[in-house]
Amino acid sequence: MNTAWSKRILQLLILAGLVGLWQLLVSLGAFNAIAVASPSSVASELGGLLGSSTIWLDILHTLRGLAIGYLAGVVVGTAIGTLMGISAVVRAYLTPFVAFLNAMPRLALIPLLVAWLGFGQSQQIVLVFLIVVFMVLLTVQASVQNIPRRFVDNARMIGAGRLQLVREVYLPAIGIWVVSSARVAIGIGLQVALVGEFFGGNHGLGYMIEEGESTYNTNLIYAAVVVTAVLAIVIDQLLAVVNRRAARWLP
Amino acid sequence: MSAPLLEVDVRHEIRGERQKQANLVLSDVSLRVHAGEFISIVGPSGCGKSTLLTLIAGLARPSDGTIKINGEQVTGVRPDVGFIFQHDALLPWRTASENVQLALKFRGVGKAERRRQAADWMDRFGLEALHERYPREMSGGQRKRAAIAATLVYEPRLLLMDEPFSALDVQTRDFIETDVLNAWSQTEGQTAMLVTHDLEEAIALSDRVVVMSQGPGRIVSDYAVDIPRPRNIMDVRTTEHFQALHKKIWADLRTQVLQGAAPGKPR
Amino acid sequence: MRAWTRGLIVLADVATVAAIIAIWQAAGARTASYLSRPSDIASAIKVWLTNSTLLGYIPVTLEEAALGMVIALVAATVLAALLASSSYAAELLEPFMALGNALPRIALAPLFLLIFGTELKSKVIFVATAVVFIPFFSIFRALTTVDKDILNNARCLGARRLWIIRDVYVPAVTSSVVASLRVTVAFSLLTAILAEYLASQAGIGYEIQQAQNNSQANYAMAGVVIIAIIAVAIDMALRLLERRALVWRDPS
Repeated sequence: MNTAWSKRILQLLILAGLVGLWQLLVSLGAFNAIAVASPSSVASELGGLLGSSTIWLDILHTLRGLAIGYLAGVVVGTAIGTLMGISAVVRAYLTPFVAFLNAMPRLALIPLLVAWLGFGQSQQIVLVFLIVVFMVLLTVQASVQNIPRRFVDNARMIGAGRLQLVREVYLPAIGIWVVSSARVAIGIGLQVALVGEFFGGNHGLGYMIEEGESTYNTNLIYAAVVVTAVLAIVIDQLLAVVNRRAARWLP
Repeated sequence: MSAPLLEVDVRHEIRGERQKQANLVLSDVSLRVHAGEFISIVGPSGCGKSTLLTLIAGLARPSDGTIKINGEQVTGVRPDVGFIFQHDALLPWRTASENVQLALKFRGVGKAERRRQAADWMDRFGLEALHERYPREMSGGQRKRAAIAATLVYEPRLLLMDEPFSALDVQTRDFIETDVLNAWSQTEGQTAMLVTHDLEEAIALSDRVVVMSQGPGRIVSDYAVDIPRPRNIMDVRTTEHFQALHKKIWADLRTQVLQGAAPGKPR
Repeated sequence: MRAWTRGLIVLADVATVAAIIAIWQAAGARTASYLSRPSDIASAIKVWLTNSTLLGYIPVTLEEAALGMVIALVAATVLAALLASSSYAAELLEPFMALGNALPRIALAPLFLLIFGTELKSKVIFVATAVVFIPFFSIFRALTTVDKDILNNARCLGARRLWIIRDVYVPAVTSSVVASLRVTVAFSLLTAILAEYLASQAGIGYEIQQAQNNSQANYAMAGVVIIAIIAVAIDMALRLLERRALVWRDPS
């Protein structure tokens, strides 16, 4: 039998085994029934959710928060990171602030954001932004500083003006790094977006998880977690494809 | 005799980021190059020949002295000067053709026209089939040719080359040197300056070989290479004329190299 | 950069911080509800220091973070060693690892709290599961990319398996742990605080949540400031450690 196939089958068996074990333990009452739901009840809850239209609204809500926060983080992070990469003075001036804010656990600011922005989606977006912006900033700064000198020198020699230099050399180099770090950044951004929904608003997958927790509806929690996991994997795989495309240029 | 194209009178020192002391790299270098010449600069490692080329290119300013091209002082990068780097500087995210077109794009040449010119130059360097390749998909020799084409495409009046062939294997080197020599001789009035470790290469290609001393470098000798043109790169090395020149210049160069290798002295 | 330029920039930094605090203080009344004022925050911190709340609660948070992190490191090492020793096992379990990593783990906090309760151990487990993949991937990569030349050389010299483990693999593991330590520690601290926000009876995160519920913005901000100071101090200490420990590392 083809080894690739046998591996796949083995993996599926392991997965099935884990789920089966879960079902068995729950049926035998090994866990506190309130806290742990059985796969079958989760499955039916999931079915119900997917049938109704609200789950898609929740997914969109979470994605919207993630998208806006992420894009804002990329724009600001790229701008500041590029400046810090190019100018030694700007770098020396801003580094203490960046280092401080980066080392500080920004999720600790959640109560603050809620008090300031209320329970809508803004606090979630700001939270995602705060996490993403530093990741992008540091990545961009490093990429600008690591552009081989001769690329810049050569471009200047063949006639590039400052604007053209930015457009033809700096931006693509930065872009490559941003794209390859996007996978990690969006993965983390998604988690942060969900956490943001724990504390505010009444939409989104994070909200569903929190709602399930406060109403002791464990089926809902698990179902929401499953949806979240699938969403995370789908996004991750899409980004992996983008990364592979970009790899064609990478030296 | 007409006025020289290039006049160099510099003394250059480099100060590191946090260092108190400045390092003298070039001590009183004076050089005159006339239009249409092909001149090579050889010297021991650390003599500052690459730095000299960088100063002429306008990528850095000399700490002391002047460099003039066509009577005008060099204050920065000039559009009529070309530089070929030791390791190719092709942009990885552009195809070979796009890289060669880049200089023309910066000069405002229209799309169709620059594609035509780029194709013409790529053909001259044997890159016909590689227009749509990315640098990553090309061999070292192909990338070097593309890099050279990308600089020659705007026919710079002064062509500077910093050990461009050192990373290539010997056979590829001969072929590419031939192409470069052809391109240079076909470009009216183009002046070429080559910095290299390889004395044979210097003599084979140039009209003049300049020898620099151990760092901080200065020019110690200036030899005329009167081997007639056109030259066949692969065959010229075996001629008696070549061998005699080589012997003479090598003795000189060797002295300079050994001066830095005195026992006990750090290299 | 000249020394005086550098000095000027330090001055500019100090001046900026002072300006921020000054503007913040002046804007006081308007931001009182969420951002509070430096003076009020300072007095809140003073109160905490005197009634030893801080001494009570900081250790709780740090304990959760530290225990969770240690468990994560041990688990990551074991898992990585297991997977590194058998390429078949590695290939087989790779999608599961990827799945575990892709799972939005910090979003699972409410779930953990429900299953394991709200005492210390549940937070420790939560921290451990959230953090484990960071060192895991780092250690796994270190184990599988040990320079083949070093290994072959060792074998030629007649080294036995134990020696190889001790002198080749263990240093590889420890250096990869140290390299990823700053991120691991930061993440541990973060998840511990998050868990405390959601459901807790103790810890700095709990204090902040309480203060928020009682609309005492200055105490909430005081908590944030304390966390920030602790986190930054730890980060700076780790940076020093990293530099010392990885002196031999090739900068590439």
